Amino acid sequence: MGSLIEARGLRYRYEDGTEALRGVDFDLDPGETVILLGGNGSGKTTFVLHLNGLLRGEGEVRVCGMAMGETNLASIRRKVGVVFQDADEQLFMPTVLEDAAYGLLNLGYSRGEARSRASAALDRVGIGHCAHRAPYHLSGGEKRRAAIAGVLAMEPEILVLDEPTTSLDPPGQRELVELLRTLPQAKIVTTHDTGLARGVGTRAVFFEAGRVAGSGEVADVLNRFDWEAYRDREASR
Amino acid sequence: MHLDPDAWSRGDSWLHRRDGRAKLLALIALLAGIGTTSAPSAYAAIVGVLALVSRLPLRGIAMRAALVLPFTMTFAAVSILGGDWARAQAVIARSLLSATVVVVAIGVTPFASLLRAAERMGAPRLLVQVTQFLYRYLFVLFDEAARMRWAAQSRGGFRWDAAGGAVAVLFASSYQRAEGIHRAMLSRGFQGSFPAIDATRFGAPEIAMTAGVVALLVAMRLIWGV
Repeated sequence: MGSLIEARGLRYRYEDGTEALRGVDFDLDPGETVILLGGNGSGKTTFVLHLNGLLRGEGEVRVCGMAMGETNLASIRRKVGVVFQDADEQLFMPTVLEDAAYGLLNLGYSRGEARSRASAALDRVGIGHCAHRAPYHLSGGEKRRAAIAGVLAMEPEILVLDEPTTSLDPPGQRELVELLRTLPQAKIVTTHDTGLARGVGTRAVFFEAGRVAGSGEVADVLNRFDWEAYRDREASR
Repeated sequence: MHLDPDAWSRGDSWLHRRDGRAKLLALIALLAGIGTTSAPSAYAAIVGVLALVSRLPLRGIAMRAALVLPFTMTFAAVSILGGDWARAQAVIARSLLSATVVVVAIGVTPFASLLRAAERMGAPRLLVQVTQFLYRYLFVLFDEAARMRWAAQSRGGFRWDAAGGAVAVLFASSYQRAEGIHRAMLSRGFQGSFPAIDATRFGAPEIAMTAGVVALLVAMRLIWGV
């Protein structure tokens, strides 16, 4: 079976001239959970925004064998579910249930089917009891789960999570690790959280200045790039 | 800040379960009746029954409806100064009853359903979408503004010359947030509209409710002349 995601020579420059990606090669195989590590501005988030066509740079991206392009965009977005860093931006519908059903209705499911699948997705992530609440009234952990449910409901083959432990307290972080472990999809997770990386990652890729600087076992990559010590130094500045 | 304007509308009553369009139509009819009657107190019984059927806290309804009083009292005072007591009373009764009907209607209808009803009755979709986003993110923006104010207070207090900068920052962060929301929408297949899972439809109870309210109002006007 081939790679779920293949990126070759990916380059991207923002309008202000910042060169965010300078030739990234990347593969995601079925069953993998790849952790993207790297400092702020290293290109991790820019890279994941290329995986469902939100940004388009030079180079090649293939998802489940489909080349990135207008004709495949809807199919690719169905295959790749992206959970964004700021859950408030992801939960834009008036209630949690309506938000979880949003993508399903766009896929053409009937109201009844969308409602039951959305409810099942909320139960799956443990916030079925919040279905009729407004997203604004959820705690940080509940918001994160609701955002994941909205993506899971669409049954993607690949889950992309951008900094999923941001603003979660330690119990919330542990619960998220447990939840991610139970999800069968191949995953790409960008994070600074070494606990999350060790907890769910099967492989790590280290980004530096818009390039992949190294790849391998999570513990090896963390050690090779002295990542935990580096983070400690950064934090103490 | 933790305002919850939808707390009442998550309740359950016969009125809560009705389609938003029926409630909007009945509301418009009642407001027209109250606004044009010569004897507003005759409508108090209808408004009272609606408030009871809604199962909302009566004291809460009264307090919210009373928010119109400062404005109406001003007009009433002008009438009293002109020596027209009856007119002053009518102005106050009309505005209080109208406010009560609106408070009850909004209290039994989630804001999203109200907007959806407006859209299904022909309100421009873009206007409805903008209002929906405004309602969703207004409180997030309030929180952001409150945090900025705290940051300013922690460093010596509020200054007018800094307020302009703060507004600019708030605008920039709102713009950035809007971009983020748009990305999240595209990722889940946004095609220009917000399909609803709201399953309510304009069925027999809705027809009965709307027709009943209109028939009652017409009868009051034609038979009893109020």
